[in-house]
Amino acid sequence: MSRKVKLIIIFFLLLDISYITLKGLNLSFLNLPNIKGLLYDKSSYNSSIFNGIEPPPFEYGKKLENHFIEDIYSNAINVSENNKCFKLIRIVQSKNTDNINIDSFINFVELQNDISNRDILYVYIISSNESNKITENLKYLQNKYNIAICQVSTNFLKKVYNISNFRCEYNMLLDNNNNIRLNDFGLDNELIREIVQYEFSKGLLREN
Amino acid sequence: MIIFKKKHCYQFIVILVFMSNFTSCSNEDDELLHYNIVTYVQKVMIDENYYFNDEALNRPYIIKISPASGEMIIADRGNRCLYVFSKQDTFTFINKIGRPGQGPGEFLSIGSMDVDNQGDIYVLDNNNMRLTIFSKDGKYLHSFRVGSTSTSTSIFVTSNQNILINSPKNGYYITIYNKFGEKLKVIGNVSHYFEDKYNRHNERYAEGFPLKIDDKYYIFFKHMPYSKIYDKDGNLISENSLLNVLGINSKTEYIPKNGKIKFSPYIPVFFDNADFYNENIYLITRPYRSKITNNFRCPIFVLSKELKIQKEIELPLNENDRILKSTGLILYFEIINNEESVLLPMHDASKILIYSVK
Repeated sequence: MSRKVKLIIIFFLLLDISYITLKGLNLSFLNLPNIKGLLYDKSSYNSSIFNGIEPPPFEYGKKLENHFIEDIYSNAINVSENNKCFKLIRIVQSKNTDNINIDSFINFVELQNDISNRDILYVYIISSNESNKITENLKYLQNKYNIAICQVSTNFLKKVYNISNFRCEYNMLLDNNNNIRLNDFGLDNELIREIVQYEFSKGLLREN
Repeated sequence: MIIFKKKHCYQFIVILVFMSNFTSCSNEDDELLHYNIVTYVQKVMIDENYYFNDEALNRPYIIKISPASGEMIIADRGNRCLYVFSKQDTFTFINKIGRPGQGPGEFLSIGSMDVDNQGDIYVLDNNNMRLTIFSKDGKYLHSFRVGSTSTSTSIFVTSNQNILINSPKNGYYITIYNKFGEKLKVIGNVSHYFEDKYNRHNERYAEGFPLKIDDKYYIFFKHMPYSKIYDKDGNLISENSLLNVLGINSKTEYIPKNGKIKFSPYIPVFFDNADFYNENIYLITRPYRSKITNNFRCPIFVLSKELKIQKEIELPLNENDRILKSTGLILYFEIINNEESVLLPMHDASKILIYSVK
């Protein structure tokens, strides 16, 4: 047998052995998911990153103490002491606190209209790391819609509301005694309205 | 004229031997596909115009039949509550459990539900990140926080009322709680995260459906035909590709036609749920459009505890049901009447389908 033929035979034998080995290990021909190395296309999974849900910072019924904020006229909104009504607070994050996402604000106004018969203090809080600049636009919006607009730092949010780096709007409902009745991210108006009405009907919570 | 020399004969023999391996291999694969395929018939059990208690279904998500009473419990994501119906053929409304909110017994987003053998109901609330337990008559018992969840977190309640939660966001394939919220055990470390620009982990590949069968813990992954089995102490017993078991892989589609299996280019197989009934494991795939028949397909694979395929249940879907595919939600199902029928909630269509052999 010539050398050339021997080489061909060895070549095919090696191919044969490698094929049988791979088949035995169930690897190459089945696209077996490799859990450890995870050979999945990273880009195809990026959309799922945002499926994560932020936990609500407070338990239902927890009392929020010493809760002081100021509106854009520097009027103190002493939420903790205002025991006459429920308080509905929406917090949004913005790059510039001197401006406002009008869609988000109008959405909050719509919510106010939906539950107009209720005695509720509406507070719209804009949070940013940058210095605050009060604009005529904000003053106009506060006067027109009777919604207290506040500007706070992200540190304030972390300290008082225990939230940071959130993407959706954060909604909070406090009752007369400043007990948390609702606190969560990205709730739609219909759901908030339904919950507000039901929480009104519950009356006072029992003290723990 | 071609003259065959001795060396040509050697080459020819080697090529023959080599090719024979491939031929025998393909025959072997065909044999794997010989299992019973039962095509069910679809009927609408509750449609979107069915009113009860002055309300109607609004995105029904999960159905469970209570082993204790036989009553049907429907988790409704739109109305954020549970509806209980009687077990008779004409399903009659009995009770409503829960309502929207964050207080005791209230829900913001129902993620998963199961019923134990005493009839107590366990509901995972994704937004509130807690598990709420109701008695069989709908009375609120208690709730506890379960850590981070995702929209597709699945739970399974064992025969001794322990709760298995698929919890990759907390770093484990399965976290086990007892009925009172005490964390008993964690099983399977989830590692190798993807991270995005916000340094947030993407553990979606570890999402799956936990089961406890005998003394073993199973996890069936959602995004790949793959499973892991752990012993009662949480030690890994085996990792199993279901590609061979189900006779499918990511490049081929299996479809019964004239008693034969045909292959065609295919989309990846995702599983929408797994459950354990009558000593068998039921795996349902995400509905997809067949490239051969152009119809929507939604097969349920029935496996033994040893992960051997027993049969396949073919659930025909209408064109109008295509919206199921776009929901991105887990497709829950319930086996009733001793495997003869399958209940399927149509999330976006607000109706309940029942599939049976005839």
